[in-house]
Amino acid sequence: MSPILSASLGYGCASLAAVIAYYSSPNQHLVIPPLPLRYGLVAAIGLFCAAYFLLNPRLGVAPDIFCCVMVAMAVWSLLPVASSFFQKKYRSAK
Amino acid sequence: MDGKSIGRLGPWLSAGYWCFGHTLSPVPLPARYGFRSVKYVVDCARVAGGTVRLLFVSDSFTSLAVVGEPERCLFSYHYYGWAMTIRADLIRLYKEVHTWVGICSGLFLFIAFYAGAITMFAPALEQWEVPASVKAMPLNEIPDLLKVVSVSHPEIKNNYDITLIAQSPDFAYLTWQQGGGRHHGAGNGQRFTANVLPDGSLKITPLVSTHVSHFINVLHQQVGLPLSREFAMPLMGIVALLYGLALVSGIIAFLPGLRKNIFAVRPGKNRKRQWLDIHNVLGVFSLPFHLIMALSSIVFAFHDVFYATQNATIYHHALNRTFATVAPKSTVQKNNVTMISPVEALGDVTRLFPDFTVKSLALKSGRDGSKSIQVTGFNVKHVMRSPEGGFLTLDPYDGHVIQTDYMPGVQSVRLAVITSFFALHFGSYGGSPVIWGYFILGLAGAFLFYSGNLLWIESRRKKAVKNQTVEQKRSTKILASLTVGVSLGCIIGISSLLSLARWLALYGTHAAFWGESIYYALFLATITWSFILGAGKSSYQLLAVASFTTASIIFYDFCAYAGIINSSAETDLTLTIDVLALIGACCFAYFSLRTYRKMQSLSEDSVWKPQ
Repeated sequence: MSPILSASLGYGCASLAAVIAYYSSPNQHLVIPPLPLRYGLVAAIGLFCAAYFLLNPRLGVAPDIFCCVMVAMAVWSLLPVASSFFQKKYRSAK
Repeated sequence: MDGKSIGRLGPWLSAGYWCFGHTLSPVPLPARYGFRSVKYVVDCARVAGGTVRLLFVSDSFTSLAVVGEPERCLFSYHYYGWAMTIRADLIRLYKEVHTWVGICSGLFLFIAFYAGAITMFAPALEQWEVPASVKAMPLNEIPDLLKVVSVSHPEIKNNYDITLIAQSPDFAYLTWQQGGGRHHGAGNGQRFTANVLPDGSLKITPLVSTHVSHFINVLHQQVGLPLSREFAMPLMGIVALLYGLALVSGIIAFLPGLRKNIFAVRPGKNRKRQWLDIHNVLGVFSLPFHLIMALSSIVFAFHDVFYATQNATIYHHALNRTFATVAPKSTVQKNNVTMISPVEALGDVTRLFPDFTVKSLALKSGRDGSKSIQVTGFNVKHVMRSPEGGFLTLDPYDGHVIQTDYMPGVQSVRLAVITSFFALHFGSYGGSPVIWGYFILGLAGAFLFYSGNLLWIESRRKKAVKNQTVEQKRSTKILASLTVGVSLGCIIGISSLLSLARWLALYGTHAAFWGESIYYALFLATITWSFILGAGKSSYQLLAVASFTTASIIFYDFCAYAGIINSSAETDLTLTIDVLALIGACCFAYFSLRTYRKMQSLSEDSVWKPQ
């Protein structure tokens, strides 16, 4: 696998893991009902591991871990705010 | 809690699995364990109609039971919570600390984070802001060019930079500095580039720059304070300390409601609740990022103090000698020996460190006439010291490596750990996705401090009772105006600076001076405007101005593209910056329109109601 492809897949997996973890949370308001918590968490952890192994050949251990954490932070910071915005739009459209 | 859910929980808990041995001895509920526990007890007791027993309370979890039929020792409901039960008075104390510390430092931190987010692209902006373009040429032709240029510009024998083109590393361009002390940005010297024209003649072009990227970096470092570095850095350190305190106190105040509030953003009529949710989400999930920023900023601000303390207590006033032993050995100027060519230096580095991608080679001269070649580049497998990457130092005469302290991958464990802190602050690891991630987190951080101020204002505004007119407190009005003025002043100032930078460089003589003056003039004008008109009315007007100034960043490129101005400047980031500017302008325009519409339907007791 080419380094660019594995890096892209790695960042994609990390982002998807963070999104799934968010949508498994009972407190999120966009997807009703939320994804099953247990399966969601297992999928998120699996995807984070996949992201780690995909990014590792290109980045090395420490930057790899930092990158996964950074992706999770960025997604979990923005997604709830964006979700609430779209939910409000959806409500007002209804 | 209704009877049905109690019934559902009942079989699970009725065996007394959790609490054998604690069952029926009544324990008085101590008030000091907080209202949260009391509320739970009252609710459950009312629904179940039984007696409430406190089974166990500690600082880490609570265990309560509602006993339906005490005679038969059957539990109807048992609550065993891992939710933090911190004493209510402590929570109140931490909330107070968080509020006031946040208010004192929030606007400084807004400027630091907004400017810091843009500083993530500083190396690219340094090229972008120079209107004259540099011409790349084959790397093996550079030594001949150096010889030709040194006839008219002898200073090139002491300092030059050869920057490799990222897409084709066999091509590079040459720059050097005449006068001034610093390598980039802040120096008073003039930078030049040279290339050979098709007719064989030499063309030397001055690279006039407003040093906008450097100025934005200084804004970031000095939290927007227009003071000299000696005064600004300790103040920045105090702001960073307050920032750290706000983070810790905020997290402690959030912990009791962690399970209930995590990920929750509840849009609706309760604006304060919504802002609090957004503030919590941004703060909690960016916490590692913010902790690193706070800690590293404190070290940046007070490293002289730390060194002085270590010098006196650990090194017994011999720290300078310790530094001298790790500094690269100076290479004495050898008049009769020719220096190695850039191609040879590049070949040596690539052979020794195959994972290291070279970005530039620079010839440096010490005060004693010693020379060294600094090779800067990056290795994405390791964390790097600065946004430009890591570097190693070569002897310019025989090409052997004389220092690798800042070379990613070959550092000692101690230096690698220290480098990690720098890398986590600068985002110098993982390549461009991390730069974009830090850009997003930086903007989210700026929004975190803005939302904190809004929460303070919303919490303290007086509410009208039965349509009576209320006069808001002066402190609320002042903070509302300051929040709008400072945050939008920073945005307008930076956008204006970015849009004017290349015009000033193209036509201006004292471009750097004018750049700073324009920023602070606009910043102060914006604050004054928000105080004159009030926070509400000025907010949508200033947002419209921010939209206009941000959109005007692309005007220069539009003129260059249409052939109105003679500028050949184009970097890899030109299109990206233009697209970002357009997105930013659209966002500000949307917020302005939305604020204006909301202004029409505000209640009379709103702080944002135009007076």
